[in-house]
Amino acid sequence: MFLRKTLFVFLLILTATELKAQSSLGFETGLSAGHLNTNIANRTSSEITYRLGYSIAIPFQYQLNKWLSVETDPGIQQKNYSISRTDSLSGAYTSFINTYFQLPIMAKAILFHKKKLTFFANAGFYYGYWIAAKQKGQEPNIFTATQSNNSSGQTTSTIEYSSFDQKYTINKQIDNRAEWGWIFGFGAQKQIDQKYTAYAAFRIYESLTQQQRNYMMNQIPQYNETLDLSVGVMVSLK
Amino acid sequence: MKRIVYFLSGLYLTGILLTSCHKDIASPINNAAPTNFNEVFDDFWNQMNVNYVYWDIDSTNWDSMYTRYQPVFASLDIHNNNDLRKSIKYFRQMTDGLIDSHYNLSFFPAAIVDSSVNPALDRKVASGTYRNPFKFTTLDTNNYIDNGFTAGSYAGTSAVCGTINHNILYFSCSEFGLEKAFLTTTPNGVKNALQEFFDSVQNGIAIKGIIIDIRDNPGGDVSDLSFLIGHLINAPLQIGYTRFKTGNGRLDYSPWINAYVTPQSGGKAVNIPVIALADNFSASMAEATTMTIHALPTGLFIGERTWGATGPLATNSLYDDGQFTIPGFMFIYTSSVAFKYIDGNIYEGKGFSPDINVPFNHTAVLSGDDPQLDSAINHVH
Repeated sequence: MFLRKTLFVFLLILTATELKAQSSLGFETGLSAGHLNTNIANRTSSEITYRLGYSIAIPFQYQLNKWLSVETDPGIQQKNYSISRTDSLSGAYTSFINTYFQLPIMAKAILFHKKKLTFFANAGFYYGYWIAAKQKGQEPNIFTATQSNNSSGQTTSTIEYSSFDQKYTINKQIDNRAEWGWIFGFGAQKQIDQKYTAYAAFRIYESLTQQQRNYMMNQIPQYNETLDLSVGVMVSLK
Repeated sequence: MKRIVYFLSGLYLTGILLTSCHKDIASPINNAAPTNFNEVFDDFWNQMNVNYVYWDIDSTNWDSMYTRYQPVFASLDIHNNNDLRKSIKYFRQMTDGLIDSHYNLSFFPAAIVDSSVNPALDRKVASGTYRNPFKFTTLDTNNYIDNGFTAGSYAGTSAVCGTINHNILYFSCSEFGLEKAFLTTTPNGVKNALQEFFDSVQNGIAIKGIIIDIRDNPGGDVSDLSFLIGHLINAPLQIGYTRFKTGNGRLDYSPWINAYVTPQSGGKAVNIPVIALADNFSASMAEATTMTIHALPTGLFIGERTWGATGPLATNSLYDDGQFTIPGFMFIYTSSVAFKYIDGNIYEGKGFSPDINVPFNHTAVLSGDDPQLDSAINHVH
């Protein structure tokens, strides 16, 4: 309901704006870094860390006036994160490599011009659909445990890590494939000539829907958060 | 400039509005000592979600346990001894279907310190086919093992190594604390028995087969698996897969990770029959040893179906799951990882079946015979 209302207001603003339309189409790619917002404070030997991924998109921009455009960047974005072990287990981790199809709708506002660069900000919403996943990492392999005596005669245990890199089958009972959330970002662009514009943008994608379905009582929510640094080029269709 | 201010203000307000849609990410998990039964129940129920590793294959409906037993526990007084005793009954009812056959609850308050809850044992006793465990050591050393065998004990573990008919190498242990006994500087019989076993395997007395007897062995140190069986291989041996919990959700699992037994220094790939003798009371590490021997090219398992506690245990910090404590009230003993055997099956709660089934025969053992050991000897010959 909230999304519908927000989109309605957004569309109203757009239609009320004088249409000095200029469309452009482009290509954008970059690095993403995901994080899982949840609470694992009870897991004393683990922490959630960012993990790099990639993003790729075909941006389409529709200029409404000199300073405001509406933009959509359908594409693929990875929302990867790791659960890393701490202290004596440092080096052990499990990374979750999650690939989403994503459809953002953003406003793009030109903020100011400095030298030959134009600085802008983005804000909007996105819809994402989880299309593939895998888990990779290295974790203690309990059956490799061995004991030995140290120099002072005390018996100590050591355990080897085993590596893994496996496809994760998205589970309908647990995993919430669809997500939507908000985007905020900023960037800079440079007009190369009448037709081409190059740009770089940093955006934050914050999911408002949980990554997991509500399948158990007292479930601790989990939300994707993704930072994305992309570069791209737009071609004017005028 | 105005439009920048408006735009940024709009963004800021929108961000605040949208972020407020997020649920507060609080955790229901509390490691503080409970002061009443409400807190005991909540701690237990929530920590089971996090730490128990078999939720995906366990038929227990844990949510319905909350609905049913939360009000029951809320009505109990933690300072009342009768209520403390009643709580044991409710814990037993809540957990009676859990398949983890290591699972055991023990309690700290004085009124119930002698109580425990062990669902696997309860199920076996209730099945009507339960028998008491039997120690074979005296019978076998008197009637089967050649004179001159080596035996001894250290810190609760006893071991025997010798030969049968002078051409079968026999090793047995009462539980797994072998590497610890071997490494200690204190002279002990377990170390001697192990040394004889390793020397016999490596240097080769004229043996036709090896029998490792782990009947009535409840398990012990997981490091003993590679320590013992690693002398019978010269390359890593995959025995299955392990999986642990990666998050607080009941179904947050790691992938299945290959589980290997690693060869020991001087390890030698044996090409003679290696027989695991195991029975209904072979549990945990004894089952892992049995399954590892079965995975050897010349391995065989003779005896009875094992106990069914196949998931290894470690301290909670190793995987952030498994055994845990409700401070001042109870200790929950449970597997740290789930184990899937190399054949793709999970034997937790079921037990591992022998290649040659030889049931325990009480009449035979009373008359000095050991039909299971007889079967192993016949197989070697």
